[in-house]
Amino acid sequence: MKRMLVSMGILLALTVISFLSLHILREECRRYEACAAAAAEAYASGDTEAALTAFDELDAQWEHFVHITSLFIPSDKLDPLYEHLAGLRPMLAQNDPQAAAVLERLRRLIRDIYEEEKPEIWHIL
Amino acid sequence: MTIVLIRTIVLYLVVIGAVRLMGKRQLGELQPSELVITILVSNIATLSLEDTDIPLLQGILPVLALVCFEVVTSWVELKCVRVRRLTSGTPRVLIRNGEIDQQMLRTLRFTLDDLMAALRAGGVFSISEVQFAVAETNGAVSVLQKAPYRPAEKADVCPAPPECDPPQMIIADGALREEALRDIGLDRAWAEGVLQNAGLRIGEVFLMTADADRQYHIVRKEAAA
Repeated sequence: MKRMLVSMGILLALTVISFLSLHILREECRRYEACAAAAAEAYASGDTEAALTAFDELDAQWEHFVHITSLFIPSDKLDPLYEHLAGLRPMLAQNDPQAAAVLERLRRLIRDIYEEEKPEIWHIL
Repeated sequence: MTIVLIRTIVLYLVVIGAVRLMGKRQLGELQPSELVITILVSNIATLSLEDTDIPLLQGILPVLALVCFEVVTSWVELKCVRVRRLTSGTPRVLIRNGEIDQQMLRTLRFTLDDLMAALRAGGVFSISEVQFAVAETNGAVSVLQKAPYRPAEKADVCPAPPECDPPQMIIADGALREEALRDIGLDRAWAEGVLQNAGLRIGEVFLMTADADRQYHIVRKEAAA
């Protein structure tokens, strides 16, 4: 009986942890996507300086974002994000027209990190 | 490398804890579900050890979840016969009064070689000697020989001797085990009295065993070389 109660307790704790991890992941992705959205907005307004400042903020938040998200998801899921981020600053500085597409793709990838962890039937299957 | 070492220590502790939670079962006595859990746990733990890209939490969570599900299921099995039959199956008679149940062999996909090997492992070399052979839920075959072929037991040749519990180890390497003493209805004062008569102190005893009839055996501690 003692073992059963301990097991039930652990299962309860695991359930709480899994939902908590989902919540943390969602909040972290939202926060980081907001940084990317700010950079995209500044770039769309044609203000290169503001776009670079917003990008620097995005870059500064990267380490924190990786630390938190890699607690819950395999770190290779973050590799495409890093690849996009690495080439973005020179593109913004040179007003490269592709920068907007890269920023949009970056936002999409950030959103996908959380979306793919949502316990929906097609993700479970 | 340090990360791998730390992850290994954490996973080791988790797996040991998980196995302790599953309870005392020997590998050969595992039920089908327990065997599956054991294999799954070892695989999941290995993956998390090998690949540091996988979060440790993703290794720990399924290990704990599987073991906890197993404990809860076994508790439900204990309370509900139907669930037990569903998860573990039921024992099946393979040989009855020396006659092999061929239909049952086919149902269980048991070959004659499997059956004969199981009988030989039980010390039986002829099917005609078998009264009952039962395939247990864990895959083992239990064999009951016919009366004339069963080995003679003490009860067959003399009246039953009085039951006696085995002796308990009450001092091990100079340390008194009061719980063992209580198990046989004795106490510390008795042990100290016996040792006093033998001119010994507890710290000088390497091993002392005793039973409920106060029969004891003392091994003196040897001086260190």
